[in-house]
Amino acid sequence: MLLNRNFLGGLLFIALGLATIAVARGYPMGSAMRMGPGYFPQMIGAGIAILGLALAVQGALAHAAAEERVAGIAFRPITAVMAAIAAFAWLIEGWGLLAAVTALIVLARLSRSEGSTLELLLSVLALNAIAMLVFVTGLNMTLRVGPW
Amino acid sequence: MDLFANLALGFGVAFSLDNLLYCLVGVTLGTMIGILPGIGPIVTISVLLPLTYGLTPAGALIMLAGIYYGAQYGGSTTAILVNMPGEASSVVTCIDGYRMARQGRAGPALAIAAIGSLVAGVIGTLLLAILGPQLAEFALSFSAPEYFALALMAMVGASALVRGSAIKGGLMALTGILIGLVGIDVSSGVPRFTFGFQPLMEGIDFAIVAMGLFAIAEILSLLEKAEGRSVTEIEVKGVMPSGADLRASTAPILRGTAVGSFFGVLPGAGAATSAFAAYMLEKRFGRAGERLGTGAIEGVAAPESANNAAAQTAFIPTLTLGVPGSGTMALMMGAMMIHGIQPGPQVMSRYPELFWGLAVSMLVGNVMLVVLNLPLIRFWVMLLRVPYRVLYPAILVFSCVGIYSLNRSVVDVGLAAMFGLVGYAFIKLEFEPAPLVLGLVLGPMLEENFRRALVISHGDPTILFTRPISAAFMALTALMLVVMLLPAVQRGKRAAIQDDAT
Repeated sequence: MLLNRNFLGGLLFIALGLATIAVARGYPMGSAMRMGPGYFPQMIGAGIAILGLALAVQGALAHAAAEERVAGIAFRPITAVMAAIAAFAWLIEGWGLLAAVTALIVLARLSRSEGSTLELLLSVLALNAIAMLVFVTGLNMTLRVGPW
Repeated sequence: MDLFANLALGFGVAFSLDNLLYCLVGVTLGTMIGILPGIGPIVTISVLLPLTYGLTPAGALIMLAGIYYGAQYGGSTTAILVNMPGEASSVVTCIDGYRMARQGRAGPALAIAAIGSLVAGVIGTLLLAILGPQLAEFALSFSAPEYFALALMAMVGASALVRGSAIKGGLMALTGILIGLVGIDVSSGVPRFTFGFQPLMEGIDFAIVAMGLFAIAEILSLLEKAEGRSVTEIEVKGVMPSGADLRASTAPILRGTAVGSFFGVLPGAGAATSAFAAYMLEKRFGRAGERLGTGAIEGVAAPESANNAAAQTAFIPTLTLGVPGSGTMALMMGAMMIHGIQPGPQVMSRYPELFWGLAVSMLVGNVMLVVLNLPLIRFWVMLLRVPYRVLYPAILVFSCVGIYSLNRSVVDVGLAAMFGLVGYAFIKLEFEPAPLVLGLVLGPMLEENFRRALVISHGDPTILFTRPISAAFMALTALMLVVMLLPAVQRGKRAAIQDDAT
């Protein structure tokens, strides 16, 4: 059973290291005395690949105990939080701060089913007020507040 | 004497109305997040970084520092009252603190934690004021090879000592350096790792990475777990400790302060390690010895003094050498760089008001914390009833508005979300992200000095080992690597270090 954290993580970093070297080869290498922009990134890429390999070997040699395996991923909170941030990003320019913050909170709260509607309403009101107070009044940031 | 003139300057800065307010905001927030489980100083500082862009550098650092050491106070409150460490650095405080509370002595335990923290905070700050200038002066003789070796040492130390394997720590640090490479290379003008994407030309803003990796990733990972927090409240009666309590605690407080001051300066070690070390020292050599673990006041005094002393002395290498020893300190350094201050030994001579203002504000902040913590303890305990489902939307709001306000760029918000997903993957694979920010902050300095060192030596890398100071740093780095690979140390580390990211 090779699906343990270290083995998977190691593979991931081998790939990252090799990709880094591949990209950095496109930049002038220079010499040790006059290093070009590609020199240091290639060293870093090599370092990542070597440590990744060490980690993968460690993972492959270890007996894959149950706890070493990657735990399941909870998709509901990820989807809710990412959708919330996307909605915020989409609304903030045209619709302004209040709409964006409200959408952010409502969508983020979907990651869990507990909590009453009253509580949701109160936190929407409170957080909108706090965001206005801190960012617009307190820090004087020129953010668009509403669609008007 | 110079010290007094400098302290006078610091008093002037720290006692300006604005800075007193930032200090108060910082320590109040610090206490709050110290008490709330699931949100620690590194998350809070990440979330609040964008807010400090508009402050003066001194104001920003005063507030962020207040959050950091304030959290060490708050963390002890929950450890004592509900047997739940608010912060990793208060894990050992639970042992004796909670037992004292069960025996009806919660008041004295809280008081000793606060008094010990105050004493340690004052001594730690004085050490910063006395040792800082000397260290900075010594470091002025450094040139490129020394800086490279020093930064390397800090990174190896921080990645080796972190929870989990040293290999993983090293991978995180290297990945941080890689992220720091994105953007136009300063010495050649070549854009690197931008893939023709315009917003990446200026590099990835440090605050965005921190926010994604710490705030958003942590929310994603905490939301997976069910909310299982039931608080059985313990009545706090009579906060004042007795004369006997005070006498018993004096030596442990001083020993804890010494241990904490030492570990605070070291790269990679931090508040959590020092609290643990101070507790073990008391158990082995203290007069309480055997009684430790049964509700002895010494078991609260020593670790709580140690973690706060470490929180202050951690600023010594950060401010005087420009080399942070932990993820939180890397964030502090990032906050300085945001204001165009290049960290290093010249900070003290070029921005004396920053260094001394911060030092004096720490004295002020430590006094504020005692006032905030002891009389208001009932109010703080109420915070424990705030459920996480109310808390995390608030963190998200601050994160998103903060990131957006940096450049009014929606791309930045998207990048932060992406780093949130990456950070979540790291948590799943059990990588500790703290060395990554260290790499991100130190990366440009490493590359720059590496290049310069090899220019000086005409391409000969042995220059790192032939100059005495740089050779000493390289030797220490090698020593750390060897020690970390020893099996006995690895086993001990697994048991000892809960979390040094903070």
